[in-house]
Amino acid sequence: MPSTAARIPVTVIGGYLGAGKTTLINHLLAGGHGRRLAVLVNDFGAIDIDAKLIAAHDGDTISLANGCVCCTIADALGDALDKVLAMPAAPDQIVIEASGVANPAKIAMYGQGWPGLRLDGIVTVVDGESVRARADDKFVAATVRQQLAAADLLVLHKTDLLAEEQQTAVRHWLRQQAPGTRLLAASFGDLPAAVLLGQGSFSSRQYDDLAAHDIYRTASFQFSGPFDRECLAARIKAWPAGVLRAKGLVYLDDDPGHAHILQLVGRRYSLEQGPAWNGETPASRIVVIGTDPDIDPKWLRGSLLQNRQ
Amino acid sequence: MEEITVYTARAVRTMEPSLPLATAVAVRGDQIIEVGSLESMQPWLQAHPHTIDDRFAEHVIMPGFIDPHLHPSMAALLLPMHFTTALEWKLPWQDVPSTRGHNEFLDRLKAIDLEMEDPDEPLFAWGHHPIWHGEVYRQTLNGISTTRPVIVWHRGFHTLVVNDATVEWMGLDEAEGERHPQVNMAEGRFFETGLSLAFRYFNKFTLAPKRFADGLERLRQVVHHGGHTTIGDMAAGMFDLEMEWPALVKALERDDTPFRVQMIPPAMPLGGGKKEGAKLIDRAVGLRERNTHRLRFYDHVKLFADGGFYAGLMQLGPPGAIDAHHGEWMTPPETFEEVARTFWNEGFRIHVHCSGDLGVELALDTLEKLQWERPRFNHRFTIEHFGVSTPEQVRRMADLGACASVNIYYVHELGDAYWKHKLGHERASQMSRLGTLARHNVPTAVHTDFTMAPALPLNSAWVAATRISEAGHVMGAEERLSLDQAMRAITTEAAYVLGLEHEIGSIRAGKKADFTILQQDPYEVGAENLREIPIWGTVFEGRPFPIKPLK
Repeated sequence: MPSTAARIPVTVIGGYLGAGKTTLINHLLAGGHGRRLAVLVNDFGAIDIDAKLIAAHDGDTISLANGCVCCTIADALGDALDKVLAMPAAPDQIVIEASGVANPAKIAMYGQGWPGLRLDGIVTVVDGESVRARADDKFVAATVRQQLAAADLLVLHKTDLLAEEQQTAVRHWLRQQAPGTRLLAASFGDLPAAVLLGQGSFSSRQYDDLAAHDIYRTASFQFSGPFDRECLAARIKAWPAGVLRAKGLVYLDDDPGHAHILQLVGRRYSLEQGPAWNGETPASRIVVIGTDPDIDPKWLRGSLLQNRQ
Repeated sequence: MEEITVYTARAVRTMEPSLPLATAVAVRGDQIIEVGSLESMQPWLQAHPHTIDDRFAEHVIMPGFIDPHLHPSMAALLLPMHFTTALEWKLPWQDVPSTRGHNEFLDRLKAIDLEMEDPDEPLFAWGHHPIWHGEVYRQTLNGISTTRPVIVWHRGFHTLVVNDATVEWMGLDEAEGERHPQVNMAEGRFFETGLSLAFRYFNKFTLAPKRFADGLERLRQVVHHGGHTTIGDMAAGMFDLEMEWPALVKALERDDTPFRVQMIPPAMPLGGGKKEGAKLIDRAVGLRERNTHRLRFYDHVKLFADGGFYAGLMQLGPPGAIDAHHGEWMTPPETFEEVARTFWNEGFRIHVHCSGDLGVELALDTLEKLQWERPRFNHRFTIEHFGVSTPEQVRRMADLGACASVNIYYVHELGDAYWKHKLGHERASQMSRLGTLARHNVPTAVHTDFTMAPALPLNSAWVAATRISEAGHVMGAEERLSLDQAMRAITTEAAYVLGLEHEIGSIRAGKKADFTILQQDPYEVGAENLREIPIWGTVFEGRPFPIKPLK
């Protein structure tokens, strides 16, 4: 059985037709985040990948200059995932663009249950201009509301088209629809990969694309003492809504022989057994990304250790 | 010139109002020359060589039955499996008895296990339903066999349960399976998206070319035994057209196949994909190049609105459902409209899968918009399935010139369950509302969507005319068809829905010599006995094909 660390993370991008999922994905594919992505498109549009990125076409698969691949999936998501898993050089991450009428939570089950994969998280993209009308539409109201409820991260998209008071109103409305869900704003798909897909590794080189966005902050933390599992979870769950993601290797007192892998996407939190420390001195390392202005190393350390030193 | 053959009969029910009843039909080659009596057709017989064939003298000749909506490929997947259903199924090789009760269900599985010759062959049993059979678990199935894989598949297709030997056969790591939110390894249960994980391993076996070919041969027999001479494959290429097409041609384009298959492809790939209009049209037109004598693509395409009725994924309008119901869209409404417009403007005839009333509403809103933009007559826009609908929608269908092709078996199999658990009595008793369609003169066929219902047109006509549920209730007496309307729904109206009314569907001079030969007269036995009528066989394009009795 592959360990948590060996499984390829799957990020599901959902949201109704026209929300800008493909724009977001094009932006990801063009970005210099250094990760090999496999993008599976299950929408009712053409694969609309930016022509500048395309290295080769092969039937339903498009190879991209930066080593990524894109393919359309007609119905058989499992088959498409198996093809990706069989590629000679496995990708670092799989991004599934869900159909505009899919419940992304259902697509996410593949990440949760397909051999060799693990779910990173669900990002629901919202067309700020039309979402409220669609949420009352006679045909798609329930579909759109389900998509909002399924999200770990909500992206309020096309903010360039929204006047300030419109944006405030739709943000307020979204918070009512999906209480507690982390909400980010973007236009033209301009979101850093570290936020959408998670931190690729613990080296800060991975966050280069964050620098262009002054609203995002990161902080990292190291500690050589062991954590209590329950206590750590309680502290992380108490973090403010401005913390979007966290990733970490954790040293736990109830299983000191193994590192444990911590993942946080919005409110989706998991802590699973990873590889044995194998002679390495056990120590916890955690990095967070968010928009909360308080995010800094001092805050992070304080929030995790509280009265411990 | 071929010799004329005159078939005499106790009765020829032509389904032509101008001459409904006759006693003889003259056939030359694949064509009807005249219907009437031996006396009335003398001018033909005196002018041309002929023989009188009285083998049907004690029988009743009807137009060849038509099921405008079934799925040969789905049937090929399912028919090699063992049926263990609560309701009876008549299959050419077996009368599947009704299996009810937990112990009876397990006894049935044990009996199948004993009958199977190859001790390693997986036992796929289809038809489990907890209402009838109780819950079964991995442990329960270990009691059937510890060495043979045993797979029990739910009647509604959304859950399956397996034994230890299956898990071993699959090579699925227990812990890997357990991670899946819709797999319960302890219970051996795979459901919803978890099914994909199971079929990832099963498909190598269930869709293997030899087994698929065996399934299609069984389908061929099923279609003949039902008395069909024409069927519509209403989503041609549902798994993968390039895999299915050669298999279909090999299995069905044979001299001894007594029926034709109208191939209606999805207007766009089922799961989405490229939608550039011109390419979709080119593809649909290009498919006709591969036509053979019996298998024909033409100017009909299929679109999908909401999710399936057996799967419980239909989109319901107000007041919704008793249970926590979640409907789904198979196509986003905007895309649906765009693709419908593309084909409408090219003159195609469009069939729309609609299960719930909100699905019907999307189809009719779209049709009304297209009629406004570019009016068409005789367009045959057809609502397929028609599980839940409103009376106003039927009136609107009449206004817009739409047709209906209805799965009437919903009333029989699901009527009681949907009354008690989903819709309440008012709406459950008005599912598949044929009576309202008839009152508004909407051209109405019935279909089976086989394997959703048994591929037996007389059984469909029986439900249409009686609306008797499996528990014996009459569900919505006002929505019954008359006996004559019910017989039209499997002949003339089915031909009309498929756009073949000039060739088949009734018995008159000039049409194809396609007949179904019955051993009793439907108009004499009455609606309640329709499904018991024995079928002698069929005549397809002038050639008799008797049904061989069970060995």
